[in-house]
Amino acid sequence: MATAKASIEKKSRKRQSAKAHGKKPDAIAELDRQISKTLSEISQLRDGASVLPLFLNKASIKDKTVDDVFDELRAKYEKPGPRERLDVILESSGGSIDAAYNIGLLLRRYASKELNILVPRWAKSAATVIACAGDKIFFTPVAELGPVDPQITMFNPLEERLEEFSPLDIDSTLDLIRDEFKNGHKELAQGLLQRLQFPLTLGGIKKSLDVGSMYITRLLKSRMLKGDKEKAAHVAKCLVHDYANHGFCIEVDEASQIGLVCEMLPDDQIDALWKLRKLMNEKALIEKQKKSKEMQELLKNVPPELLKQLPDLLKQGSPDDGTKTA
Amino acid sequence: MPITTDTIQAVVASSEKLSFRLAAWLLLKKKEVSFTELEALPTVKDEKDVEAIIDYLTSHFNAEKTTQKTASWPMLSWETVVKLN
Repeated sequence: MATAKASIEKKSRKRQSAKAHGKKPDAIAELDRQISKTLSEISQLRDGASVLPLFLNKASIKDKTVDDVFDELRAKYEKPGPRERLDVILESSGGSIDAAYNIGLLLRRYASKELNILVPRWAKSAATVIACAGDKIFFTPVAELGPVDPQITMFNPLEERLEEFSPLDIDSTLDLIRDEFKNGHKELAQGLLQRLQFPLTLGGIKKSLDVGSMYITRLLKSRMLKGDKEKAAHVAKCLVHDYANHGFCIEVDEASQIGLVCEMLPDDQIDALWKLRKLMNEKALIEKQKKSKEMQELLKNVPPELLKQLPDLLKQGSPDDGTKTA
Repeated sequence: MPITTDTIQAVVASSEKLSFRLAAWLLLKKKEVSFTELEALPTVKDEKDVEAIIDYLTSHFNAEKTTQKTASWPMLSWETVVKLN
């Protein structure tokens, strides 16, 4: 009787806690189960291939990401070796091109026979370099790769903010200045010239385009386009130089046209991959809601100067909310 | 960096934008703050706001934007984190 009562009380406390957090406490655990199940489904649909999901989303590929991927591969597999096949599900907006190249080579060491890159939605910028490490790239109907011109981040002291630009912008800026001089707008042209970076800095930035070209050419000619150095160099040139802006959508047809070995996934695999993505998004939403509640509690302790400016709802329960206490 | 009255006053005075001030206070208090936590701030509307906050924090404080692993096998995932150095 006492045990049953304790059990009931424990369940009641758990429900109250769950209610306070606005969501069942095992919602994340349930989503994790569904995610694992979907990954198994994908593996089965892919002839039993070993599946490695790399979901970076908007988080940048960094040097530490190389360490993380290596740690995970070492934990999963005893050592690099002639494994049959590795299918990598890649969702990333990019980051460090050097780290991306290293990850691409690392994945190859663990999939010496066949390395496939499956893109549910994004493998942009440096993540496209990882995709180029594979033997083949598989797309959903909305998946996209992206141009690989490096994005340079510099602090703009006049506007006190970080700004991003591509080395490809340098030529168009110089053309703009030349045109203004040609058209007789000397003052404007000189003003623009004075705002430019130090020449050596500009030269260095332009040179950074070569890095992307080198990495992509090396990856392609050694695997996806093995032996065809010219085609590999052509694809690299397209990806680094030939697109109007860094966000350009390189979907399956465009990717195929420039020379990458790629194809659309079959319908059942698209369904499974898309389901996986939706489950990850749902999990992220629940975590965000949980964080919102934690933030509300934390913000009750902000300094008075900030507290005054917060919406009234957030001030309830804080020492300065004006309510009477017993 | 210890959270002294001077530090807090400096944070409050450092920007007119409330989101930036709240984020800065959060970073000083917790030493690191994630993309999800910034997104959860009540004054933040969308991802662009979060990116702007991250720009502000990394350019005004001795902080770096880094990528932190949030899950291992079977589903490797990462998120952006701003850490105070």
